[in-house]
Amino acid sequence: MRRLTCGWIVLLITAAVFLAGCGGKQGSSLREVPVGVVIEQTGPQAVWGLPRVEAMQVAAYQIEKAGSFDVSGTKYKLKLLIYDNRSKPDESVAFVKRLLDVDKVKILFATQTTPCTLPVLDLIRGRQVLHFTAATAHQKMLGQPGYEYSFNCYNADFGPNGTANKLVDYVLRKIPGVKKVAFLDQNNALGKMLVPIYSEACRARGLEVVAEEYYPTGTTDFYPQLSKIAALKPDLLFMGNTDEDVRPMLKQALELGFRNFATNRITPKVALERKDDIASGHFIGVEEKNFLDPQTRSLPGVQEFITDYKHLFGREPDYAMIPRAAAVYEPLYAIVEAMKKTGTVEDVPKLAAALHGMRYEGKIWTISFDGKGQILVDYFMYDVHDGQIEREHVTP
Amino acid sequence: MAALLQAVLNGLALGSFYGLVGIGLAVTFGLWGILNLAQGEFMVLGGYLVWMLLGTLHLPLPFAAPVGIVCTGLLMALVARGTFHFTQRDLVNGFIISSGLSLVIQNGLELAVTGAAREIHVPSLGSLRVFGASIPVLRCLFIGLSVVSLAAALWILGRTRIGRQIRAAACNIDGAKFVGVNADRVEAASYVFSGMLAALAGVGLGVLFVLTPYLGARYVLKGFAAVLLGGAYRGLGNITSTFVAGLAIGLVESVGTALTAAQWQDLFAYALLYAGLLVASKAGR
Repeated sequence: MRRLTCGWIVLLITAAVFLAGCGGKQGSSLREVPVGVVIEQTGPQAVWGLPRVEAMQVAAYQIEKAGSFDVSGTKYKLKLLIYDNRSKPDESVAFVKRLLDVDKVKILFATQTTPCTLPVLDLIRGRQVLHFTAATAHQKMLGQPGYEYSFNCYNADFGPNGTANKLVDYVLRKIPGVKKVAFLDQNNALGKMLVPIYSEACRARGLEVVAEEYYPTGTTDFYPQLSKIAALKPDLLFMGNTDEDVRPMLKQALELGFRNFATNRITPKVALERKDDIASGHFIGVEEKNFLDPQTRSLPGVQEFITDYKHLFGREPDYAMIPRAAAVYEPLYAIVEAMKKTGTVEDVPKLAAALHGMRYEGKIWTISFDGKGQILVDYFMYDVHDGQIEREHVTP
Repeated sequence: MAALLQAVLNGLALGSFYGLVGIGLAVTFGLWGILNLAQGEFMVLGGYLVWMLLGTLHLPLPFAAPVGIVCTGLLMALVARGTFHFTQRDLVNGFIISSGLSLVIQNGLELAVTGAAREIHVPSLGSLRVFGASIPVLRCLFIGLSVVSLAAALWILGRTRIGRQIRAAACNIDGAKFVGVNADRVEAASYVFSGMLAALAGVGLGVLFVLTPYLGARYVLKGFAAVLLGGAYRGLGNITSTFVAGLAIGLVESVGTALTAAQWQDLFAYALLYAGLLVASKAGR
């Protein structure tokens, strides 16, 4: 009899614990908003994709940790459906098709680089899906028919408020005598996209573009290209888009007598290494928030990102990559804000309209999207001159 | 005229790199039938060794450079003893092993020194003005050093005992062994020699340009093009024709860039290789 009673007690306790667990676990009553993510987690472009997919996971975790979000009285959380395209266009297409046709996602992040994004753009044309990408080539499509719900969440070069126009204005303020400019950029999709944008900004301000040259990827000896450009006697050289390329290029350009330089993706560190050689000229560029700086890292939002990142992945984030990561992290939060504001998680035209007019004060960046869907973030213009660096904060 | 002269001088400097990498490849290919794709990585490794000797031990460049170059040569011989030694005259296995080796060196360097570009800092010696063209003295010195290296290589192979043994082994390894040539010694010497040439190019790379762990592949491709182009006329493994072919590739790239657009630079190099091979095959070589 006693054994039977004990058995009943154990059974009742187990049932109580189980029922309490069900009732207490708020997550089980949450509805999920699927977010499709096709991203370069492996392969040569993983350098762009990996920090971003991790940042999206941090955002989804933080949203759920904060009790998820309320849309018209219903609690939701984000469910990330992540696929690694291995930096390959064909795999990007296959995964995007699956997400659109099988998983029926209404929010899609695909992909981060131009070669993978170009075929994806054909798939999303005319579809009612909120699409986000960081690919440079996508900028041409912004605002075009069929791409009304497509957003670019990086590369703020394009458009009237883009960095191209702002940078050329800044150059003319700092070096008023500039009349002739030359371009030397990488022979890839990014270089081929950037040079026309910046040269157009120069021509619009009456500057003469004397050369637009592209060097093969992996070049270390820029003398052949620089010698050719030097013969045209430009007052300013726009160059490269990676620190690794610009470091030897700057050294060789200085040897050949170039004095003034402008860049759009290069950290001031490269210029400061040669500040004495540049002293009589200028090295002008655009800089994002510097997360290698401990002061920036101690900002509350950034600190929260770092803590949650460490919790999820068990290691320190790559601080140099945080600006790249923020390009998807903040838009994901902005989408949630748009859902709360519009009271819908599926009405794509309403969500897109809300995003176009939104200014979102994020944890890392304050972001907004222009009328065409291009992200705008605050940044710094810098000028290395006379052995000093001067910074100017720009809020588009 | 000045622009053309400038392009020629630039091409000679660039071609010197291709020539040096090409000679190293030609020696191991001609002797042991090994297409060493890791030659470019040994070049980068040599540059990094000198960079580290300068940065950590604060040795002066005239001392650090020879030490780094010799160490790279010895390291290459050591690695070859454990790898290529077992795949002599086996083109496919040698190719696979050297591909793997290049990945190991690239990733090892990435772990050890990160992917950031590094420079070997030396004081600038200014530029020479020749009929309106400008060429830095350091580049002139590098071109000169490359030619001296070629001359030294020819002297070693033609006038010294080990050089004669290497040539004998290249002609017929079994015959050379039969007359008392120590094949292991010859093998080690050839890899030390090849590694030293690679490291010399690596030091030049660090001084004139920059070093990153992934630079080797680009140079080894052009170096191999020099081996093929040179080999089309004087036989695979001929170091003089390989060096001259390297210079020709550099010249074609540089002059082609000056006359057309920079983005076609690689096209000129490989078009020259294709044309060279076509002419050689028509001539029955």
